[in-house]
This record gives sequence, C-alpha cells and structure tokens, in this order.
Amino acid sequence: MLFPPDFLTRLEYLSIMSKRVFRGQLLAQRRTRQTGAGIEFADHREYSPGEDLRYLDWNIYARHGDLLIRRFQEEQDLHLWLLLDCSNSMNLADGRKFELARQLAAALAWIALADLDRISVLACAAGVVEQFPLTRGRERILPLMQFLERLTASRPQTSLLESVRQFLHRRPRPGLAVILSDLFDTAGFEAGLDQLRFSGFDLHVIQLHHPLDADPAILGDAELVDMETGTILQTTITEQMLIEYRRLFSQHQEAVRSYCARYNLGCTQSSTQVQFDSLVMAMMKQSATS
Amino acid sequence: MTFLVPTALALAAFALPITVLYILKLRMRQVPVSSDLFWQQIFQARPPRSFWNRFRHPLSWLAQLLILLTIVAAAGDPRWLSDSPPHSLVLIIDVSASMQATEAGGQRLTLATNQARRIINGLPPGSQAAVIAADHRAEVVCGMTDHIPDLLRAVSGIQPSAAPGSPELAIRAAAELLGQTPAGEIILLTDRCFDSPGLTDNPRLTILSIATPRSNIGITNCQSLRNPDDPLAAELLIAVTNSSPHIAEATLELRISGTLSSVLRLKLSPNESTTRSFPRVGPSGGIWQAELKNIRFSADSDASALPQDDTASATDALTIDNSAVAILPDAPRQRVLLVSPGSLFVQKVLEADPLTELTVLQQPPPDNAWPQDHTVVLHETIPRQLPGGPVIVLDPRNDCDAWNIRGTRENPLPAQSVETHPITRNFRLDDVLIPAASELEFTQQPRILAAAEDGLPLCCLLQRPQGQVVVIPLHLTQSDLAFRTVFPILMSNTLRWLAGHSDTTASALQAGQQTAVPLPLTAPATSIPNSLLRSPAGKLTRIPLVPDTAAPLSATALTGPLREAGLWLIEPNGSNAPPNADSTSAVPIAVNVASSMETDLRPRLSARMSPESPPKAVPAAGRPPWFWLCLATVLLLASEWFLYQRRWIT
Repeated sequence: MLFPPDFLTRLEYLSIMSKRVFRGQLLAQRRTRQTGAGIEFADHREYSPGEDLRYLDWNIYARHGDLLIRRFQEEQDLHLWLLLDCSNSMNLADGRKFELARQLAAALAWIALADLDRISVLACAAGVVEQFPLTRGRERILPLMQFLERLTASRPQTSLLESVRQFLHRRPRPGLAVILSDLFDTAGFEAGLDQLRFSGFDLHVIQLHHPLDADPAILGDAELVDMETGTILQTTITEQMLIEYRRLFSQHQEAVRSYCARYNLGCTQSSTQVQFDSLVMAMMKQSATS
Repeated sequence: MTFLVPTALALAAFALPITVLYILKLRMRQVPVSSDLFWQQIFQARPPRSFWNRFRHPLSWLAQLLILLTIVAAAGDPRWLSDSPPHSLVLIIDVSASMQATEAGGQRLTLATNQARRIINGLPPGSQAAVIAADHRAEVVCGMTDHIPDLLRAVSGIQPSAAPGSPELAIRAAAELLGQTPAGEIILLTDRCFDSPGLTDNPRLTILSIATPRSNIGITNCQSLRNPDDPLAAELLIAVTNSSPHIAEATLELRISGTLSSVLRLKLSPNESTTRSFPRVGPSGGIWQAELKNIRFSADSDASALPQDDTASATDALTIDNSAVAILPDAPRQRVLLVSPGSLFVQKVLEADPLTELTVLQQPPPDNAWPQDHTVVLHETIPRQLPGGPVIVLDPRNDCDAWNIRGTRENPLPAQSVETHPITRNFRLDDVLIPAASELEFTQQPRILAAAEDGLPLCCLLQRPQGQVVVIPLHLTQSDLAFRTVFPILMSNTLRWLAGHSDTTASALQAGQQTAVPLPLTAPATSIPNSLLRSPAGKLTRIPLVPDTAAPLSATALTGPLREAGLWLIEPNGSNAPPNADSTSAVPIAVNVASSMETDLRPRLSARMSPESPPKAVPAAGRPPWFWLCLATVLLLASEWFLYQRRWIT
C-alpha cells in the first residue's frame, strides 16, 4: 500500500518536527527575496525624487543629511515544485523506488501545505506527462495523495532537460524545485538542472536508487533488458565487469554530489531500503547544518 | 594402441547429456535493469558479443567433450602397440629386513615396488608376468597372468618382512613359473644385501639394485636362558653389530617386563660386534626388551669428533633391528613326595634343587592316599597300583599295574639316548658304571629315551591318562649314577618336564621361522579347534591347535613363518577377545631380526644392471598411457575452468 493508514500521522509528526526542531529551514517560514511592503526591515537605498516620503529615513537625514529610503522584506508564500520521475526505470524489481519517491513527494507537500505554502507536483519522464496544479491549504493533501496513487512509472524514457523545458514554458513562479529521480538520463542530468538554476529556482535533488542499481548481482550469460528503452544486451557478465559496473555507478553518484556542492544545491542520495520519514528527517538535518 | 578394458569406452555415452545441457544453457535468462547506461560504457571497451564470444559456448562444449574423451580413454586402460614380441617375465621383489632401510628416495621396498610397477606398466601387449615376494622363503603373490591390474594389485599388496633374505628359492620358483618359455626373463629387485655368488651365473636373471651402501648398527642376537644347574639363575645374551665404516656410539637400554633394568653405553669400531650378558636371579620370568638409542656415527676414528647433536640417528638407516625381545619363562616351585626306604643320594639331589619342596616318606601312604599336587618319586618300593599324576620311578624292585619284573640284567652297556627330548637333554650314560638293571615287562608300550646295547630300557616314559611315568630301572645302590653330574640334571629335567615347564621353546626366534608352541588349556583341546594369534602390529589370525593325546589339557600351536619382528601373542583358549600383553593366559613369542646379514646394509652381490639402465621391458616414457591421459584431463579441466567457469573473488 502506497499510503498506509498511519501515513498521515507520520506526516503530521514530520510537520511538527520541521517547525520545532529545524526551525523550518527546509520549507516552512522560508522568506522570498522580494522586497516591498513588509514590516521587517531589509536595507536602505538612495532616495529618488517622486518616491513616497513616508519611507524616507528621517533619523539618518537629521544626523547625516543623506536622503535614504528604508526598504522592507516582503513576506510571500513559498512555491514548492515537486518534479517526480515517472519513467520506467523507477519501477525496477519491486517498484520500491517509485513508491519511495511518491511517499517523499507526499511528505514534502504536506509539510509545505501545513505552512500555508503553495505546492505543485509534476510527473516527468521524456517530458511533463501530468501535473497536480498549484494549490495551498492542508485540506488539499488528500487530493494530492489520490493524484500520486494514480501515477504509474510506465513512461518509456527519462529526459530531465525536456521535462524542465516544458515546465518552464508554463512560466512558473520561482520557488523551491525538488527533483525526485534516479537521474539515469542518457543525455545527462546537468543540463536540466542548469535550466532550473538559470530560471531562479532553488533546487534540491533527491536521487534514489534500488540496491540492484548499485550491485546488480548478475553473473554468467544474460540478456540485459533496459527497462526504459527496451534495448536488449546479450552478454556474459564476469566478476571483472561487475567490478567495473560498481565503479561507474559510484562515479555517477559522485558526479551528482559534486554538481550540487558546486552550485550550493541541496542533495540527498539514498537507497530504497530507507523509510521515507527517516529520509525526510535526514534531509532536514542536512538543511539545518548546511 | 589397444585397450585392456574396452567396456569402459561405453562411458562415451555421457557426451549426449553434456550436449543437451549445453543446448539448455544457451537459452540465456533475461535480466531487467534500470538503465543500460553503465553497461554501455563497459561494453564500449569490450563488445558484449564479439567474434570470440560468439564461439565461446561451442568451444567450451568441445573442451568438455575432449575432457570426456580423455577420461573414457584412460578408463579403457590403453596400451601402446609395440614392435617387441610378447614377453614372459617374473618379478622377484626382495622383502627381507634390509629392504626396510631408508635410502635418499625413500624406503628400499617402496623404491623396489615403484620400479616393479614401472616395469609392469611397460610390458608389451600380450606379455605375461608373475610376482614373487622373497625373503628366505618365496611367496608367489601373483601367478603368470597378462592382466596388468592384477599384477599391479599384487605389487601394492606386498608386505615387508623382518626375515633374512636369500632369493635362491624364489629364483627356483620363478624358473618353474617360466618353464621352457624361451623369451622368459627373471628380474630380481633387491638391495643385494646377501651372499649368493652363484646367482649371477643364471643367464635369465637380471638383478636390479635399488640400494646404496648405508650405515647401520643393530642387535644381531638376543636370547635369554635359565641355568640348567641352577634354575633360579638366568641370563640375557645380546649381540650388537656395527655394520658401517664409522665408529658407532649407542645406548643399550634393557627393560624387564617394562621396567628399566640396565643402561649400557656402547662404542663400536667399524664392523665390530660385541656380545654382552645380563644376569638375573629369581624364579620369576618376564619379557626382556633391549633397545638401541642415541645412535651416532663418526667418520673420524677420533671419538672427540662425534657429532654433539642427536641428528645422527638419521644415519642409522634401519630401525627394526634397533630393538629386540626375549622371553624368560617363570620357574615355579614344585612339590615332590619321595617314597624311599632310605637313599641319601636321591634325597640330597632332590633337596639340592632350589625349586623343589621335598617331603620324604619311607612307605607309601596308607590306603593309597596320595597327595594330588605332588610329583611322586618312588625309589625301590613300588605300590601295586601306581599313584595318579606325574611319577618318577627309580630302581623298581617289585611288580605293579604297569609292569612285571622279569629279572635283572647284568652290566648292560648304554648305547643310545634321545637327545632331543627335554628329559634326556644334556644326558649321557656312556661313562656311567651300571652293574645291574631291572628287566621290566611293561603292560603298555613305553617310549624309550635311553637304552642299552641290547635294547634294554634304561630310561623310559609311560604315557597313561592319569599322568606320565618316567622309569629309570638302574640299580642305584650298585651304580655310580648317583655320584655323577648327570643325575641331578636328569632329575631336574624330569621334574621340570613332568610339571609342564618345558624350556624347549626358544626364548626368541629369528624372523621368518616357524615354531610349535605348547599351550596350557583350560578346557580339553578337542573342544578348542583353534586359537587367536596377534602380530606385533595387531593383526589377528586364527591358528589350528594340535591336541596332545597324552595330556588332554595341553596342545601345540603351529605358527609361522613369523615375518614381523616384535612380540607375538597367542590366546590359547579359543577366546574371541584379542590377546594382549597384560593377559595372564596369553602365551608370548619373541621374534627378532637377529641377523648380522640383514643388519649389514652394504650391497655385496654385484648387480648385472644398474638402476639407471632399466631393462628392455620398461618404456622410455616410464608411465602408462592412462597416466598421461589423466594428466591431460586435469590440464583440460583447469583450462576450461579458467576460460569459461572462472569467478573472481573480490
């Protein structure tokens, strides 16, 4: 069962923990960079003729004779965009990878909704295949869970770049974009993430992998069937090839970590053997300490 | 090439299941993967189904078939076809004690059997061969046959012997096996440690030597003996020989029934023999064990140059002659009742025997109440009915139920005596003055141990169910027999024999001998058909018993040849429990190498052919074809595993 009966209870616990312990560093109480008509002072700038004199800082003018306008930080709702990989590769073996990805999407959405932020979920594969529209309010969690339950990982191919392009064509308001994927993109994951960065999104990458992705445990003669493309590769796998495979997989994981570290992006890599709430807690700890 | 076991070729049918299994294996399993992203990167350097890989399975299949082919061929026991005609060969393998010496390449007997296997494996097809194991006897372990496995099995089953070697008998047996075969050949595999100069004259004989001169020191004789004049005194005689060109030092340890009794340090010059005796006083006997220890050899005549460490024992090439055993029988006390009107000489002779407890009566006991556990000595006065049990009759003067006195013979001339009988051993009447002797007419035929010239019995033995009777009809009062040394010897021999304490059994036998061992039984011999014989190595065999017609509770066990040195044990009473040294009923037999010829490990007989030039029957390869086929199988298996089945361990 994707969402067991105690799922909402666990989500509530996560929501409380996110506020009390981690002070909402990941989602809740995040502030946008917009300056405007807020009440929290941000900084000064020079006065230009015609501007509202109510915002002139008279104290500074009295002391120094400089005309400076006070600026305030405008509190706006956070927009959380969850990009969920629905390609066939997420359905390996027992489908646990896709199941965990959906549970994570629901958990993050709940935390955001509980904080009155806006969320949207986009199912991606070769492009955006389905979208849960932008919404807010805790009562929207149930429709969201129904949407997630309906999703299947049966799309033929992963193209993060094309998915991001289609997403950006909808002119979304910048916010926090969370990528939930295994990032097995033959064209590379960097181009898609670059597009999002350039469009002003904060990014958090959650890369999931099945234990069989890390160590296939195949020896001897076999036909390797690519779950996304259906390509069949006839071969005889030796221990030496397995060693090489494990090296390439580790290299791929390291590339994702390096990319996120270089651009100061949030990055969470996990096996599907981890429970979703443990993973969310780990993400919160990581965000609190970074 | 021909096959000795062609039926094994049917194993080739296994090719069918191998082929079927390969066909099944070719249907590869499908394994879904999230992405072939990484696999593609791997196969960029190594294409997954290259030209070589396409033929990978067929080549593996062919390799498996080749392995099966070599196994089938090896099981068929192939033989090379040769131009040489069929051969008749008798292999004689020397198994004497010296063949247990160690050479640089191993034990001599092992080297000999290995050489024999090589010869057998190299026989041309159609050849016949036989195998004989030879010490001083000859045992045909495999008769003439062309079945190579039987010959090889016979060679493998050959056991070493501690007996001395003398292959003449084996060579005669080999000649009889060959008969008139013109191409017949006899090959003697030996260490040449024996003296048989006539052997080299045999044109059909080839002597293959597998020995080099080796140093050795050993016990060449070990015997124990009780003094005939003083049965309480005993002595152990040990001879030690140094059969080497070096000075030898050794410690001789002597144990009596397991208790250390004496330690003697010996130093022997090259080729020197020494004999030592160890006295012992007392009625009890036991098992004497002698052992040479801490043997060291020196190449220099200077004793100070002896090696200080104890590694020189490795140079003592033969170990079985470093120990020896001998058996000293007990000398128990014997109760004797003398019934005599008065003869001081007879009484003193019996009193002088230290093992005798003497009771003297002048008249027979009233109502014939004879004591049951006594040996009765009757002098002159003989009751009408002889008492039961063992009886010695001296100078009978009246009739009884066993004889009638026909008269007196004047001056009988002693002529003959049975020297082999225990009673008359060391007994001669030639110089004894015998003025008169009673002429007896026996009711049953006696066994005469000594007689006069005219056949008059001077010492005879009556065997009756109630007990043995020894009769000496000389007139003692007129003869000087009682003053002679032979009289106490005669009385002592007779008393010991009547008590069943015969010392006819040697205290120790030389290995390879046969012996007849008298056994005391707890039940009539007719109810015990055989006894258990246990070798020093613990091997059990059943040996038949020969009942003693005169004594129902005694029998004789015929054993031998006893080829193993050490202590043999006989359980006489038919028990199924193996005899052991602690058993009171077990009868021990001591067997030693006891041969200076076997102790000397230096080849003396000239070899006709050196080991480097084997006879024509041995092929150049030295190994049978199945060996090479098995080797090829192993190599093919290893190659196939390395190429197709290998898994790396990370």
